[in-house]
Amino acid sequence: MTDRDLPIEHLCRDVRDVLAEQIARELRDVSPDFVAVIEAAHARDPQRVPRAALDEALALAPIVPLGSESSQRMSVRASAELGALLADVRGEVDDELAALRRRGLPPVPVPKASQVVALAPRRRWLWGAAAAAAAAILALATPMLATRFAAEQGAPTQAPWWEHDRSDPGTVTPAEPEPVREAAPRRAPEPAVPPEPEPEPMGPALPEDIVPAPETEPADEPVSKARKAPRGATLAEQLRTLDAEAEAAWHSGDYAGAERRFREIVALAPGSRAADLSYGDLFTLARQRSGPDQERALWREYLAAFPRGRWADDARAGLCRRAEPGERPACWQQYLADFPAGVHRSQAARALDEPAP
Amino acid sequence: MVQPGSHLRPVPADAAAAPAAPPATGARATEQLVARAQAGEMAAWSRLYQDNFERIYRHVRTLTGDPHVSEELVQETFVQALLKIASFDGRSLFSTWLHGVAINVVRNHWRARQSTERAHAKLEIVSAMVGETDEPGAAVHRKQRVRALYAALETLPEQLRVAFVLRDLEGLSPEEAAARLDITPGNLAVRATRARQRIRKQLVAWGVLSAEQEGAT
Repeated sequence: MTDRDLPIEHLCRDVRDVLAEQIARELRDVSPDFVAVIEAAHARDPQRVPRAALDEALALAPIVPLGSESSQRMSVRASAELGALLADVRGEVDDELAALRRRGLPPVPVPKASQVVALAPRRRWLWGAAAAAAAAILALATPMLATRFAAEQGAPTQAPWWEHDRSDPGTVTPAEPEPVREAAPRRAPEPAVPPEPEPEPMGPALPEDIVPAPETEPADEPVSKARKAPRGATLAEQLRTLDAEAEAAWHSGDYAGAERRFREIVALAPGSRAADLSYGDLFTLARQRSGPDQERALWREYLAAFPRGRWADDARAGLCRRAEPGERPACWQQYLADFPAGVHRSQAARALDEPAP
Repeated sequence: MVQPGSHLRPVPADAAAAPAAPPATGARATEQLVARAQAGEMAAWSRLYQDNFERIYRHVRTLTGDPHVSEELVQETFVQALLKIASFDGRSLFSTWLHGVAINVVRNHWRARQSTERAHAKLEIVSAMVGETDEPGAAVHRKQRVRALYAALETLPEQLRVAFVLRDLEGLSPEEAAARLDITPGNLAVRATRARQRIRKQLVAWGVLSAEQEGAT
């Protein structure tokens, strides 16, 4: 027997490849729980790991986000999907505009020197119509986007955890509208065409009325104004830019700048996977820069937006750990009901086994 | 600072105490963290946990082949490490010592769950999947081979199993693998070779490898 065993070597190479793929995938969903480690050690040997150590750990880091590298924060596939969807949205906006043109645009008088000033309001109207159409499409597309990303990460339909039907823990209520989304109209209103008595065909002298000149900014930009992206940048590009900026700010020690940019991502694409991931970074930043109250507030904010998000399990457990002693049992009980396979279930079970304070 | 290979965001080593302090790197920083951890400082433990979680997960996952138990066993590894840190004398790297702790945790897991029924159930699964010659797709085929290999590993004694995983699946050098098991490289080589022979024989018996392949060395 030599040391070379080719069939086994080939098999091992295959196994290594498959394992590498599987492990990389699993690590995106694994939730390290340092506090659970300390709790378990304290339970086994309170002398070696005293209560003070547990308290110290509790104050340290209930949540350690994983999978936060920019390359993992928006996968190539997710970016491609988002890009394709936004292309569809843009196409629909173009179709709307084309339909408007076919129906006939409002009369455009032949410009005279004295009428040049009046041109601006008309162009604003056209922009307004386009913006309204785009806003309507985006309002419909945003939940669809959120659903797509949720489906991709295997998350069930999101609903606030406090609104679960207690009689049926597996049932979730329909998602609450996101605050930012609420601002946009739910249904696409027909572009308000001001009544004009005598529509006139457009004259070739005013092509800029059909294709607005680029120097004017739309009055009502449909997408959130959280960030002024380069002209033509897609939402995915804006998110990528923001994420890269946040990461750079973080590495340079500008934690406030990083936090601001993660907040911008959340505002720009509420309910999206990018927003979900950004909260993970916001948790870490809050741990470093804020007190326990702010952390709790952030967890609650996150759970309101992502009751079944990728950090929901940790956030719920974090809230239970920080709950008043008298409220902890109920909190853990509810946690177990909502996350029967949650990574903190052992801790929840132990907490429920302990005598009431 | 985050160790190379970790995918966690860098977090200052002691954020609460000195958020602006430049993070230390390398073995020296780990030594300092271990010394602080041995003194019972939880911030240092938190750091060590964060820096080593992913690599220990990879290690445990490769040993067990089972994603469902790996996370729990990784947590148990850190619990054991926390309770045994006083015994770490610094003669090896902390990461080597931690991997050793993980191996013991996995061995205990194997002992606890060992049962004839389980092994037989695995055998049936392997037999069934080997019989499905018309399974489409290379990916499915590869996954079947993974399951077959882990089923074969389950038939091995622990010592051979660990040696095989460290050498052939994790790709460690004989010296590294031996250090983790606290045995000589020669001893490690003997175990790994025996493991390969037995695995091959088992896989041939199941039809995963052909008899011709068995002779191809």
